[in-house]
Amino acid sequence: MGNNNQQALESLYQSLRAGNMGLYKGYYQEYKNDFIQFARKFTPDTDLIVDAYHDAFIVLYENVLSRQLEEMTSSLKTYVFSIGKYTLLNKLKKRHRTVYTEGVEGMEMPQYGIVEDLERSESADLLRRHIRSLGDACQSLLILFYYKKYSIEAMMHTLGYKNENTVKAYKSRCLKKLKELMQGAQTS
Amino acid sequence: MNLTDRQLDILDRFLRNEMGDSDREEWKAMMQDPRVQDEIRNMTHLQQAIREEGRERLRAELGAWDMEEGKAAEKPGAKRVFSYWRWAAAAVLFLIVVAALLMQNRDSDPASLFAEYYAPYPNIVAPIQKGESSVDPFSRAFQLYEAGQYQEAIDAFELLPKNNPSIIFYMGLCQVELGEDEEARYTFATLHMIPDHPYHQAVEWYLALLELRSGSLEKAILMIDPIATSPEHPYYRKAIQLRRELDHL
Repeated sequence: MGNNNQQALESLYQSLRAGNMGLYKGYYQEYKNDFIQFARKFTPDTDLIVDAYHDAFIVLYENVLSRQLEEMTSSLKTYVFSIGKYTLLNKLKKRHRTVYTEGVEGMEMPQYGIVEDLERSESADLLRRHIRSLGDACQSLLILFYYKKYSIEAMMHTLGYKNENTVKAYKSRCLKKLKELMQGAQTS
Repeated sequence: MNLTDRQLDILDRFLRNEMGDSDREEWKAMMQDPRVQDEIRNMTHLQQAIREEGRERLRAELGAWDMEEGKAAEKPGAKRVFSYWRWAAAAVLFLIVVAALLMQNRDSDPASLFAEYYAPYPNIVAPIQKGESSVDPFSRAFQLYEAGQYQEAIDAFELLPKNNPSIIFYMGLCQVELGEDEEARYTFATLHMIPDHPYHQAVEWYLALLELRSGSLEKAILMIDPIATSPEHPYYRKAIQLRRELDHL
């Protein structure tokens, strides 16, 4: 069982690195209705449940790409459900003035991977504005490289560059432009 | 400061969590230089901002898949057009019937039905005893509820530890009384997280009534129907009656 899980994770890792979202999307669609049914026992608010499900898949994406789940023995579905439940209960806790948490299973941090707070940080807001002002091509390139962790080859195919060196050169240019914007903001 | 290409590659591998054993020695050496440390700090902040942008894009992508799925469920196209017309005609007919019934009986609107079927839940936790006024904060909160001082009761409940389902349930009831329906819905929703609490059935009933008060008849019916088909439910009879009245709206 554990071996099958690891194979599933490895396939997912390889496909994401290659810029292929098909397998990930397949899992997303396969588990969605079951998760909504499962989460209804915590809240009737479907929007909140779907929001937590999105968070769970974002966490899954990041943890697969950063190889944080190599020790995981549970199935992918169990993992997604545990993250989804954890984020849902935390969202409910934040939203309500009163929340009962003692003795509720699932309030503990899931065992595998890293579950970051997915709320936006204000400190990154200015930087994000600079990133947006770079234009779509640079934004996409930086996101693919630093967030989606695409290989240079996958970036070349996705963004339509003629070779890997062009991707590298363009990435350096985007970073340089971004640093200039940051420095400009600091001096003004 | 400008890093060498080699140093930049190592830094990228660090940021992408891909550093190999061979990089680590060089990484340690790089970290000794304060100017390199500055560069690493800058790049780490940058990566945090890129991560947030990336998450936002990924979230949008997940949302687009949801929409795609919704659209797929609406197919097939030709049949759908026909079906739209049928539904539109049915909706017009339904509105005409509803309007006619409303003209006949103006009292049977959702708000009136709410008023008719809503009854405050009795204080069974710490009832007021004749000639006694409780000073312990727990009993006092429930007695304020019983006395109809709902805002004061909420203030008193707020001071109590939230590890008791009765406290959460009665706070929700106070919010219903004060017309804070959204807050009440969420307070009741938190009760879902407590296994085997004694207010499950009452909460189902009150949530259905809240939908009624907000005018969401379809949602109200969806919540009333399971009650009206469960003879063991304490609100079974009321639910059957209410359901009949809703059929005539």
